[in-house]
Amino acid sequence: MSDTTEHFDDEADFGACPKLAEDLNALFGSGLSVPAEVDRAVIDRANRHFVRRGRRRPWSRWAASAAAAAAVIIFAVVLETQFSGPSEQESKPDQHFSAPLAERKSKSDQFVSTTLVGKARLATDIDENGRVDILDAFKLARHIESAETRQAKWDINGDGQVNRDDVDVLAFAAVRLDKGV
Amino acid sequence: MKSDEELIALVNDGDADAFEALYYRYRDWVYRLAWRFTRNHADALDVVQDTFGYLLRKFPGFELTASMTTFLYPVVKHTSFAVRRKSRRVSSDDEVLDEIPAPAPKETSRRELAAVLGVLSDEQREVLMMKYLDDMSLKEIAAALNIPIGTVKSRLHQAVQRLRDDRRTRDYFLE
Repeated sequence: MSDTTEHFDDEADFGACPKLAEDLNALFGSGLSVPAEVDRAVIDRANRHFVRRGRRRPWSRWAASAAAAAAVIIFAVVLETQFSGPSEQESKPDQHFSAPLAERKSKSDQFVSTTLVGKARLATDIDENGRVDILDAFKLARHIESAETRQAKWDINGDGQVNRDDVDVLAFAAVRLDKGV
Repeated sequence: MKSDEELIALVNDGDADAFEALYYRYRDWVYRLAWRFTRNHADALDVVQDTFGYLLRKFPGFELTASMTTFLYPVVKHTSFAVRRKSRRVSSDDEVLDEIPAPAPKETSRRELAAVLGVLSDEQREVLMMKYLDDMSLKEIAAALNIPIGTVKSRLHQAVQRLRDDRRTRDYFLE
């Protein structure tokens, strides 16, 4: 830095009269402004950006529910494998369960037998590809989140409403079905 | 009125209205700067859209470490040069800052100012414009150009000295 520069250490040392800014603006300004179409384009893009991001959050909640359901099922299957013998399993499949586990399995079996069989099973095939799997749960979640038409047949748990609870039940059941139970 | 930092925090939470507020706060500043670099209305509008598109992609997770103008200046500058390169509306690739506009004949003081600016180097002229036209502080200029503040002071000093020494422009600096 030169010696002379050292005399200009503060903003105040570069003070100039307002006319300098005015004349620079006249020289380097276009005299035009940003039209409303550009404003709309930028703001519409921002709105789309935030709507997209906003929709992702609930979607990830469904994924988390499905993953949790899958973890529970895997845990149950591992326990079942550990506590069962081959001959007993073939003849009396439920006798080897401890009471709470048997109770849980019974509830689950009840759901599968009452809800996911026959016509009811077809109702849970949301994407109508002939099988009920985790993708149906995702699809149902998307339908609910996007507030599109909700069909009465998607009331999986039979509480009279089509909502997140149905997605959770479907996700749980779908994972269980995938495991061949 | 909410500060830039408050608006950015809201945008990070997905508030589109806060982004809109930021847009209207800096739209004209971005456009003026873009026009200065491109010298073309259509190109400058492209730069405005690209600049705010770039800013949008920073969310969520954007952290403002300096002022908004410090953040936006290099974005506008680089985007302007990119748009100019793509655009066939500009016939030459010469630096636009070399193109001092010709003011109307009656505007004597502006014509003289333009003439004196013409003898400054690109670097001196750029910091002069940032200081007096964009109203940026020395610190902000240094951060925006990614150069030491001493270099900013040196360039600005040389530019101001040139204007002070010239009888046509010395009046801008009289107390």
